[in-house]
Amino acid sequence: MVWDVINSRGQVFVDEIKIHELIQEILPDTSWEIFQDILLNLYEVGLVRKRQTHDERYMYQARSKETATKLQLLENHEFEIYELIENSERKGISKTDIQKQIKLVQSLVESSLKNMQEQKLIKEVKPKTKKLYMLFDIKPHDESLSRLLYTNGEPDTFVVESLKSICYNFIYRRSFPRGMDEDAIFYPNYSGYVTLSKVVQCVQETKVTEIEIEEADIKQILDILIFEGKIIKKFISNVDPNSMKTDDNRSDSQFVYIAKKARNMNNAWTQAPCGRCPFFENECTENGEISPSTCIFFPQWLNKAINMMQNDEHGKEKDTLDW
Amino acid sequence: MAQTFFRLCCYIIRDDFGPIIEEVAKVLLQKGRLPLVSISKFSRQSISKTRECLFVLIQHNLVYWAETREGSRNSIHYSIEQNEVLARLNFGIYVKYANEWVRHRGADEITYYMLLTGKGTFNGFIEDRNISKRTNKYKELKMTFKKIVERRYLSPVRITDSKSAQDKASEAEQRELAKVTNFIPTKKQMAEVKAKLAAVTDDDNIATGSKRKINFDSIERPTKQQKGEDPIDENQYYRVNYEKFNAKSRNRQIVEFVKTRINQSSSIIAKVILDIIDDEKPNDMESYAISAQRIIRSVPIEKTDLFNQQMQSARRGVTREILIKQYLDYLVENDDILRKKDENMGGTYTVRYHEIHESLKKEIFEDVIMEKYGFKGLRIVRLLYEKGKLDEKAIINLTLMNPLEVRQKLTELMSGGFVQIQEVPRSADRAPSRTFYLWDIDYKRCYDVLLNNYYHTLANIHQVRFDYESGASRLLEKKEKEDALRQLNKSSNIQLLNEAERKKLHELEQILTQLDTVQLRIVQNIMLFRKYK
Repeated sequence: MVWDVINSRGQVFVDEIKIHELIQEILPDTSWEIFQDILLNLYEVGLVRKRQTHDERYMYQARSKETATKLQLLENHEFEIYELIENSERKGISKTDIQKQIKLVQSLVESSLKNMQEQKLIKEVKPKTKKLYMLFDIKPHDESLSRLLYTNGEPDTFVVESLKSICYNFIYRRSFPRGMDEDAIFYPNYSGYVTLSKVVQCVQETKVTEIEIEEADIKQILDILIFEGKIIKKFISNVDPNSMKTDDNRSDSQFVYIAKKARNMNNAWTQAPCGRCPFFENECTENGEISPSTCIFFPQWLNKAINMMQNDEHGKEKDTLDW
Repeated sequence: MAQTFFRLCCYIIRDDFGPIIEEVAKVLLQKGRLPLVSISKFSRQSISKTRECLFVLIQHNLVYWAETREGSRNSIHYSIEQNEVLARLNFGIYVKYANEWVRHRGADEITYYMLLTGKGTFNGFIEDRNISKRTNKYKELKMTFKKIVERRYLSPVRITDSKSAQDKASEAEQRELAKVTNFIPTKKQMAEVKAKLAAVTDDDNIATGSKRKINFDSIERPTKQQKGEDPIDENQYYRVNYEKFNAKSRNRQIVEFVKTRINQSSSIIAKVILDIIDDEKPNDMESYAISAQRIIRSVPIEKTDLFNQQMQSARRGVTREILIKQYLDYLVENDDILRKKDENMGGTYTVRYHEIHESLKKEIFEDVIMEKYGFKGLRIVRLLYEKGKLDEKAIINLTLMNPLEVRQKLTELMSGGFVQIQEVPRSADRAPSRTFYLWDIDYKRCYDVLLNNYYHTLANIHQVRFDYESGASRLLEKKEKEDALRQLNKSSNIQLLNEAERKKLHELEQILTQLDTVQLRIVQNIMLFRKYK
């Protein structure tokens, strides 16, 4: 009964006073002492976790019945280790840390860890070099990272780049009308731009990888494309002011992704040698050892331009140098 | 910043006026406001020479003077205006586009003459060109000149204009105070006078904003003008109104921006809108509103086909009017270019200058990052811009980059002055192992860094140019001599230069054009980053 109440609260810790109140709603004559006894019982059979708060009260969280049955089979010290690992939550805990806190012999710790692993209560993860232990059914926090984008805890740049180009191509093709002038655009309020789910669908259809593709992964890839300035994210509402009928079938407003035109903004600076010069910031001074007068990049750059100009001098005259 | 800027100013003056004037200007730039004697002492020039130099600088609107009474004698202090010096870089742009903007032939010649002389009269221009008063050319130029003045590309100058705005303000304050009291003024009196003066200067601004007032009130006009046929006073001195030209070149950049961002059709419409508005102040936040009807009327009809091709509409066969409206809506929806102010008269629109500036700056800055640090650098920069302060791990996870690469890019960006690091210690001892290091970027600061880089680059370009010119000084002298002889004899068979020299000269010319070209490109970016001041 009490377990049901705690369990109904889900995967959070609940204050004991709060639980008592809830119990009293159902069974008004439950005294505090009896209530405490019940909780202690529950705790011993492994159906609840408890945690002390700073003002010496206890909070409780329900465990599932399957876990509880498994826990009852454990030895006392194993149970202690289990609690430690459970409390480490998604961060995980290393073997040495367990040893330190429990103060047990290494072999005992190892055997109990092994035992629990066999029962699928805990698992071991290795984000980098150190082995960590955590509960079997939670995702590691640190590199809870999708298997698609990460290998060995580091982003897999190869996968990222290839997914990026697939997504970009897909979005680009649907951002501009086909069969018209290459500069053409869609009318304002056009709502056929690509949404996240469509991109996911597209990537899944290409079958680039056997690993399952999740929406979150693709979203991350799209975010990167946004950071690179290749696409923009826009919020559009599909509510048509002319026909106020609401379509129940599709959601009315959503984020869409639109590709930007491959642009050639003329930023003048990097065209000049100084814009790419490694000594520009600090070393290059008016009369210093490195100075515009002794610069080796300027003559190179000027000569290159002269050669270019002499080559096409017969064709066009100075038109090419229009700024 | 100051050091680079100072170096650039000196180079500009050396380029335009030569080394002696540069010395004088250098003193003024470095030490601020000075009287004649001190200037000549610091610049190690004789007093008469210094005076001549100052005269040249005043003629070209670079130096202001102010008279003050010190005991029994008057002393004159001179000061130089840095912005005016920097504005000299834009001259090439002004001359090149003068014809297009004024939409009259000969406007570039007049602009060129005015820029060359600093302050000039119409008569002076005619004499300089050797144009007889009876030719058609004279009439045409006179028409153009009238247009230019009417549209405020040139503004009239008075003697008082050689005083700086600050001096004028403080003089006016003195005058007003003298009216109120003979003794040291109280705080209240001071405040009153200041409020009064502020109101007056505001009036002034309004007056200069309208064409009529400036043409008819503030300039002393001889009786000629009352006949209504010839409103130009041929001996009135004028100078080029930089603001107006800057506003125009801002418009040009906006059109260019729309073209690369969206397409040609929308850039045509943007140009039409900007031409209608045709305002004067380049650093306004927003233009006044114009109606859609007016825009539709002004858009050239022959472009309809192009418009049709570049916009896929919801239905087939839309009219021209709807098509243009669609483009306007597109400009409102995308990239903050226009703002719909109201629905009346088929919708009224304003141009959002401020937003456009910001996105232009952002675009150029990100392009620089892209070129200098690659797309991965850009990824980091934009991530930091959008999410604020982040630690290295978060950056790795959000950009999905190799940790080593991230660290390398971050250090490169930091040494470029674009990103900063923020320490957040977890314990009081500030041990590095227990400290968060958060990376952060501030775009405004980056723009300053970029602007400073531009100044630095321009100064470098100037220096390189001087080197090339002085390296070939003998060649250039010879060439000048040849040109002079040819002009004298009017015969083209004089040749002082041999084949090799001719080739070398040709190469030098190409180098100089190349340097000029890149300089002008940078100058346009500088204009943007300085908000077209």
